[in-house]
Amino acid sequence: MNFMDGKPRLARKARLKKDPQTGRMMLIYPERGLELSTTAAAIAELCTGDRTARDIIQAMLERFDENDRGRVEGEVEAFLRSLVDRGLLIVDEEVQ
Amino acid sequence: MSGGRGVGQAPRPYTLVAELTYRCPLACAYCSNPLELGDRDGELATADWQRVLAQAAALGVLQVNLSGGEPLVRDDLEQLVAAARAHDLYVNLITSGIPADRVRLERLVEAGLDSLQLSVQDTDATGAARIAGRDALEGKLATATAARALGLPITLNVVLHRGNIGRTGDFIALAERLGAERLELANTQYLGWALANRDALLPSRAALAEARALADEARARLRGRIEILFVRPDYYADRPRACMDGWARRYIVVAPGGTALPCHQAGSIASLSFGNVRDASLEELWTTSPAFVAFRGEEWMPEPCRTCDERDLDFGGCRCQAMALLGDPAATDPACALAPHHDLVLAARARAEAPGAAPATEAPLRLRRLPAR
Repeated sequence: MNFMDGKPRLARKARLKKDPQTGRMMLIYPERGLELSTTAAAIAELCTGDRTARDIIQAMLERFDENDRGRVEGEVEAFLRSLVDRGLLIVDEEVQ
Repeated sequence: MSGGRGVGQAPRPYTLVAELTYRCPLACAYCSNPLELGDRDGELATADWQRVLAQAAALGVLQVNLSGGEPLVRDDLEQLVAAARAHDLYVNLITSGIPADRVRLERLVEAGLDSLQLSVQDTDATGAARIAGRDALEGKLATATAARALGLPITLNVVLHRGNIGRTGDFIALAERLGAERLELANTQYLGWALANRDALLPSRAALAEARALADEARARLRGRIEILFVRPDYYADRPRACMDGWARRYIVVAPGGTALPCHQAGSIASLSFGNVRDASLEELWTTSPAFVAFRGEEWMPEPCRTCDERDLDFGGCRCQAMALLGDPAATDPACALAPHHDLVLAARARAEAPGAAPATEAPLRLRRLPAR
């Protein structure tokens, strides 16, 4: 399956949580935590398993200037792939 | 985790390790509990822990590890999980998996448990009994299966040593079979009980290299499915471990009786005075308790650490190891090849490599004694 057609959802071990001290969103998982930028947090919040990666990129594009299209597309995809590599995002829809 | 606002002069803690009890059905020869398992103060009550969890969250802690001993032996575990979640903490249960049944796990999940870290001592029954006093693999597998059915993410925690490091491939296969999301292959570090058993536990360099290669291969093969961590023993690293990510920098450990510690072993440093959560708030302990302040930052560092380019990476290594091997908690960690007393570590390695070293199935072991109650 093409990566863009998969519907990413956060892994069960990962939970989005606001850091009350900094106001930033954190992606927390066992013994670790990832501090997210505003944009990264917005992407992570879209990873509910209901939208394809393509949909998520489209939704993010609407937040940025059309002139930045290429950059935004590349960065959102790279972020999604980096979460997959860390095991924080599940993309395949295989029944577990 | 990076960044974070300081509290006064102190950095901000991220993780609370709540050691709920020293009671445990197992007797692992590398247990991270202190050698002296005295229970002078008695275990903290439910209300004490509820207060500690609230104070931890207010101090900036984001994650709590409910640990022990075996936390499942406490009847109020569900209440403590719920209390931690009420403060929006991420809750890890670090457990042997016994005694647990499906009903108990269901209650814990309902209370808001985020993740289960399940220890597996060995895939071989004889090896497990030898290191932990009994083989409990069957019960652990049942716990893992029940957890999986409940959608609870599982980390398999394996402590590697001479007796099981040859079965690293089996541990990886087990993690795959159980659908674990993480596998921690953490070599024994030689403190406390593990130091008492060092000559029976320290693997050879060749065995370590083989295990590491298997972990590397599995990490590449399972990328995106299972996160695989491999932690070397600092005895073979030539540089010290960044113990606890730096003394009193990220972690607070609260022992069963309420003593607040910068790490599990810190009580072994007799010259430090430790406060108790029964008498003081966690914030007060974290910011001003002499035990937390003693080795925080770089002021305490001797040479060669003080001017070392790597001091931001390892924070000067492990104070308890300096204490255990040299009797001086401020000495350079002997695990470092630049340390004046690195020869102590080299000598232990040489014994592990010696042709006459006792095989893993025969070397005498001193199992952790259960605390008298």
